[in-house]
Amino acid sequence: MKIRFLLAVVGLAIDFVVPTFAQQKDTVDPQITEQLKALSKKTDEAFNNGDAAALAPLYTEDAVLVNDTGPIYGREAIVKHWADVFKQVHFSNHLDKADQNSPHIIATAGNEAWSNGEWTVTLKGQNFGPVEAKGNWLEIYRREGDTWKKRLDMWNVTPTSAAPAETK
Amino acid sequence: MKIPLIVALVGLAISFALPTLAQQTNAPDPQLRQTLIAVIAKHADAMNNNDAAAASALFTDDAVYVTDGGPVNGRQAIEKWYADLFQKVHFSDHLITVDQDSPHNIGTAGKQMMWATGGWSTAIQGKDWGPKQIKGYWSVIREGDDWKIRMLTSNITPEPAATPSPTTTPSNK
Repeated sequence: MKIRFLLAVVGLAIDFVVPTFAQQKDTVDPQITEQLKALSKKTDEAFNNGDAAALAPLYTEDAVLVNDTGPIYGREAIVKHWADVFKQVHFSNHLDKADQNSPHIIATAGNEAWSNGEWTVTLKGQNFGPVEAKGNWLEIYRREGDTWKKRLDMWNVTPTSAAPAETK
Repeated sequence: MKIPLIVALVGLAISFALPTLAQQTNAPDPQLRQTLIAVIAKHADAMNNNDAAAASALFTDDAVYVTDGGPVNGRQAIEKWYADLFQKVHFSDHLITVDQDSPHNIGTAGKQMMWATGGWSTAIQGKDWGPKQIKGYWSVIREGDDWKIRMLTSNITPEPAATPSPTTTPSNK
């Protein structure tokens, strides 16, 4: 509990630091920004519908999902993972919001990009919740044809100071 | 007769195509991997020395550290973030591992770039608590001749007794 509280305090410190730093924004084709926004929206819809199959086309075949329990390799395994999660937990109000400085284009060919952002969600399980959760994400994208897909998908959870009762 | 032959040939082509795809995704450039491991060792040293200046020196000026409290933008802010953290928590036995298929080369002729994923573990101790062992995972984008960190993010594996996590897999303990 103490560590969680400390992390929350560190989190607070960050909140004050961020606005004072005026970061230069990369010049990005607005069309790419829109396409990546659409990708986030499809992600939100799939989560809110508990629809793992709808997540499949959003990942590249060789995608990596880095959970807090470790990485999962490949679209097929990632979709199976989310299907298993959706059996246990109902997601609602899932909202991915990209950071104002994102996206960042990687290669000069313009076929790779990355973004970071925040997520918020309401979780409900058979014997818990509904509970609000939030955190941050990092995604690396690759363009396949006209479609942007996630090559890397990683997320973390913001610790809550008011965490439910924990065993000591 | 002709049609089954074509089907068989297509089948053969597929079976040749699949192994090459697997190779592409699983074999990082060994030299690039060694380079990554070397620069990561500096980061582990900085953490074990609780040295905010040394840790932040590994980031680009415009770096983003996506912490679980939100993004920290810019090397200067990252140094302050580490300094604040080290004032409250002492780190030791900081260990960083690199996933087998990392790093991934995303550079172009004009600019070196890579991304990679891996794990970390560390012992932390505060004034009146700990030491305590924690672990998690990270991903990074590095760039330039000295492979500085352009983006770093990390997560923390929930403790077994913690609140039910939707992503805790049965294989994890």
